[in-house]
Formats: sequence, structure tokens, C-alpha cells
Amino acid sequence: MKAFYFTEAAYPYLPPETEYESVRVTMPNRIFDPKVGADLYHRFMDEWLLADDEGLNVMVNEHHQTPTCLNASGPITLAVLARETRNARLLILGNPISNRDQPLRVAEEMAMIDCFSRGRLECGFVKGVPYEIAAANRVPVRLNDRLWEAHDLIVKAWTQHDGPFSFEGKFFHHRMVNVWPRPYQQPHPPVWIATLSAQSAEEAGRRGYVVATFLAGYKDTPKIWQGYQRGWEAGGRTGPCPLDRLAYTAMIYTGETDAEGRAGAEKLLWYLAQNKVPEYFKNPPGYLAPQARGAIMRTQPLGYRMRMQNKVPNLDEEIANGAVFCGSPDTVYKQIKTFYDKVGGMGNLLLMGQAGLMEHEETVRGIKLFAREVYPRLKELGVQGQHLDLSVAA
Amino acid sequence: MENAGLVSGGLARLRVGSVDLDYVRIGSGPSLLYLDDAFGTAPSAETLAILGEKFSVIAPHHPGFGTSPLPNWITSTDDYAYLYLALLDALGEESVFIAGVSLGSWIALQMAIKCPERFTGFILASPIGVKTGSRDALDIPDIYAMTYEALSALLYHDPATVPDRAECDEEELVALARNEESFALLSWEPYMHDPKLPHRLNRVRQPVVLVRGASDGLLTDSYVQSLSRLLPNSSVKTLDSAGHRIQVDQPVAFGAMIADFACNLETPVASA
Repeated sequence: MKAFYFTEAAYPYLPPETEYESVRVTMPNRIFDPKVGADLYHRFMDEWLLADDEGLNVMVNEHHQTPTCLNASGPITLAVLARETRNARLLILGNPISNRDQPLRVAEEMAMIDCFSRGRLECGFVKGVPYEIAAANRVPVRLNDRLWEAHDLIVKAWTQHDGPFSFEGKFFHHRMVNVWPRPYQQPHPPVWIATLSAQSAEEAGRRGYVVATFLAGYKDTPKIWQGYQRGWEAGGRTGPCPLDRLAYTAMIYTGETDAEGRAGAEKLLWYLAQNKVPEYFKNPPGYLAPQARGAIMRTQPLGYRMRMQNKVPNLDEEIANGAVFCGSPDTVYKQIKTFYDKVGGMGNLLLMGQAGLMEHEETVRGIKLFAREVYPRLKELGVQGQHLDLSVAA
Repeated sequence: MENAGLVSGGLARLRVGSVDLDYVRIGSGPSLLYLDDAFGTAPSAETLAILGEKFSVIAPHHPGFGTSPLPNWITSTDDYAYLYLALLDALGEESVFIAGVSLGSWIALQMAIKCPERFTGFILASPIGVKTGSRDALDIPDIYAMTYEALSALLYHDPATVPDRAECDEEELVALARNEESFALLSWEPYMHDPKLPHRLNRVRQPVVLVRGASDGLLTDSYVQSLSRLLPNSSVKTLDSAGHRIQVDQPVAFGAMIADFACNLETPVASA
């Protein structure tokens, strides 16, 4: 199993929730103190570099117009990591290619990162969460179509080496594509697709990409893995997919003791709690199919999204859900192993190891304890050749 | 609910190009093309019945709204204009009067600039589709950044008439979600307008009456006046006790206004 350390890199010093309408999209940036922000950028970078030193891989993501994530450009953070890290695989999860204007710009940025890092890029593509729509001003209809057309153009740009080609799609038009540099890894960096939907997982499986899911828990993860497996087979492959195709994101904090681990995890719950967002940003028209949106209009939130709806998160509930693994190293290992067995396995574990008001020292302790006491045991799991356990009921 | 109960017996379907177009045909008299707004799941039976007293009404159901899926090639109001021109061709309607509300008015303008000679006159209620103000401020408030309650207050004159979503059944909610998705596609960017229209409206020499509900929270009077100045032969009327959804708030008064205007044109529409 490969582990990737991750933080959303938030600016957590916010007014009380009663004083604002929405934490995302409309929070005025006068709240951002540039001196504090600068310190945060450097501190989060120090923690990523520590993760590399400790033998973990690293992951960044990207969000816009929100204090919940200061990485408004994932590629910029990734560029610093490409230069400063030594061994870590560098995962961006992901480039929001449904929203970005120019897929070719993404192709160039990723090729540069891959060269700078000498072939350590893991390139994720995402549709983006619904609150990104207002920030990108991207019409929320037909986003999946736009994502896959952008993907097709990017992959073609990476893999055509004989001079310019043209591309006249539904969303993107070019007459002269000839991207420099080309990626370090051949034919191109590994592609990851992040999703909560079995259908998107199937698309990833068809292409043999890595599918990553996020806090999906015991309940939804098997469905996503099964979706992936369907696509894997539809792509002309037989047998269960290798575990290295499957990635699970959880909030993970490792303490010396169970109490210390839980105390850290309580701080990670900030990510779930700090999500006061009005319905019109959470549910823009067309982002979900009419059937699903109709259900939400009746205020029946779907599955995982319930945890994102202004509900005060409960640590034991989230542990039981499989969204949080925390405690002493032994406890964390056991929780991960239990989850692993229950869902059929996974070959990649993405750890949200810092959030909200968790300070530097506490973050560092958690990274080191995980890397030194938990990760070596996890490496036994999901190694090359191990496959999805299809006997696990969806 | 004002959208309950389609006019029975009047609903027809015609293959127009690659689209199966549903439309209501009702009433007798001069031909009137009625183009409804985006906020209901079908043209209201009450409005159509009132119009049917004086006109032979053709009221298409906009593809992608209500129960019909959105064809994947449709991206703009212009596409609807061509569809409905083809509908008129197929029905042998050479010369019609148009009444529109909101999205319907926008589509009507897109039709008018293409072949103005097909139309005897226009009543365009709650007319969207044109931007006349500066780049630093929205002419029309952002309907995609407000709650259903806030939007309803801008759309309807009387809060008591606002449909309660909690009372809608699943099918209705799916239809409303479909409406929102299709309207988003048509109006997202540029927001709620076609930048080319101000340069093309000079072709529309037929008489146009722009109607604004006095309680319309989306369109200011000065916005509608500025649109009127772009049309060579237009005037503005205000309808009291009506919001943006004029046809829902004041179906009788709106119907009477249409009849009065259409039947008193300089070149009056010929009686049946």
C-alpha cells in the first residue's frame, strides 16, 4: 500500500459562523491577513517536505474562493514540491478540468511538473465540487462531457510527438497543438480520477486509471470499487482489478496513545464542520441529474453529502463510518485493516493529516508516528499483485 | 398549482428536424404564438384558455423543460428560435402575433430578428435577453446565487401564490430540476443576455409592447425602458399587482392586454 500525506491547507482564522452566509465563494478576502497567510503557506510546505523525509508520498488539491483551501492553484504548490522533495510521488487530486478554460495549459503544467520532479507526478483530474461552479463561472450543465473532452485533449497533447495536430471538439477548439515540454513519464504520468460516483469510477476503470474516493466510508466505498471493476472488465480485462488502482481518502491522526490520537482527530473534524454553504452553491442546476436534484429539493440529502450539510460531526460516528482512523499506532493500524478487509482492499491510502486549527507541532507528531509506526505494517497490504476482493458484498 | 392539468385534447406532437416538439393548439381566431417562461413546467392551462377565447393559440412546450429531455445540440435561445420558426413553417403559419413571457420574450426577439416579416406584432412581457448597463454591475440579479424563497419574492407579486416545493410530488420536482438545468444552460454566460441582440433589434419594425409587472423584482423599469429604446417601434406598459411571472399573477389582465393590442394594430391581425 502507498500512503500519501495531504492537507487542504486552510486559513482557519475565521469569524463565528453566525457572522457569515457562506464559508465558500463569498467570504470576503479582507479576512485573509497576508502575513499570516504567508506563514501558513510555508508551514504547510514544511509539513509536506517532512512527509517526504519520513518516506510518505504527498498529495495536494485545489479550491477557489475559500479559506478552507489556500491552494487556488494546485500546480503552483506542486511546482515547489517538485523541486524540494526527493522521493515522494507527487499527487494532485486534482486538476479541475471541467472548470478550467484551457486543457492545454493543464497539459503543459503537468508536463513541466513531471520533468521538474523527474517522473514523480501522479496526475489527478476532477470535476470539482459544486461550490467551485460559482467561482469558475462554468455553466454546471454537461460537466462530465466537458471533463472527458478536456481529458482526451490533454492525453493526446502528451502522447503525440510528431508535430502539430488539430482538435475541434464540442467544448475546445485548436488548430495547432504541439505541447512543449512532453512528460518525463512515458507514455504519460499515471492518471487518477477522484469521484464519489460509481459511474465515474466505471469510466476510470474502463481506462485503467486509478480511482480515488473521499471519505466514502464503509457504506459507499464498495459501490465505487464495484463500479470501477465493471469498467475494468468493460475495458477488455479479465479478473479483479489490481489494488493499486484503488485509492481511499480518510482523516487520519496517529498519537502516542488513543487519547492523543482522538484529540488530533477531533481537530481534523474542522474540515467537516466548517462547511456552512447555502443550497444554491451546494446544488447548482445541472451539477446532478434532475432525478438526484429533485430528491435534494425535498431536503433529502444524498449519503455522504449529509455529513457536509452544516451538521456537527461526531468523532465516534465518523470512525464507525470509516471516514476517520485515529488513536495509537496499533489502533490506527487495526482500523485501517478492518476497513481494508471490509471493502475488498485498496492499494493507496490518502491521509488528511492536518486540518483547521491543528498547529505545526501536533501535525508533525502525527506525520512521524504514522510514517514510523503504522506505514511499515500497511506496506504488507495491497502490494503489487494483490487484487480487489470481489467476494465483498456491495 | 397553476401548472396542474394540461389542456386536454389540445396537445399535439410534431417532428421538427431532430426534435419531437410538443405544443398546445387551442382556441379560434387569428394565430398567436405563445412562448412561456422557464419557471413553470408547462404553459398554464388558465393562460391558454383565456388566450384561446380570442386567438388560435400555438403554445410549444420548450424542449428541456417540464418532462421533455434537452436535445444535446441545444445551447442557446437562438436554437429555440429556429425550432419554433420550423414549427410555424410546418403548420403553414405565414403571419402570426407573438406573446412571450421572460424566456419566451427572449426567444421571440431571436425569432423576430431573423424574419420580422413573419410577425404582425409582439407583446413581450418580463423581457430578458439584452444587457444595456455597464460591465461593473449585473442588469438582472443573479438568480443562481439566491435561495428559492428569495427568487420567488422577485418572481411573484403575492407571496401566498408561490408554489411550495414541500408540496410537490417527486415527478414535479424532477421537472423543476430539469427546468433549472436547461435555463442555466441558456442563461449562464453571458448572464441572461445575448450581446448581439442590441445590434440586431433595429430590424424589428413591427409594433412591440414591452410589459413589466409593477412588482417585478428581476427587471427594473429603467432596464425595460432601455430595451424599448433599442426597438424602432415599441412602447412600455406596466401591469399592476404582477411580478415577473405576469401570466401567473394576472392571467386575465394579461390576456386582455394581448387581445386589445393584437386586435388594434395599425395593420390589425385578420379575423378568422
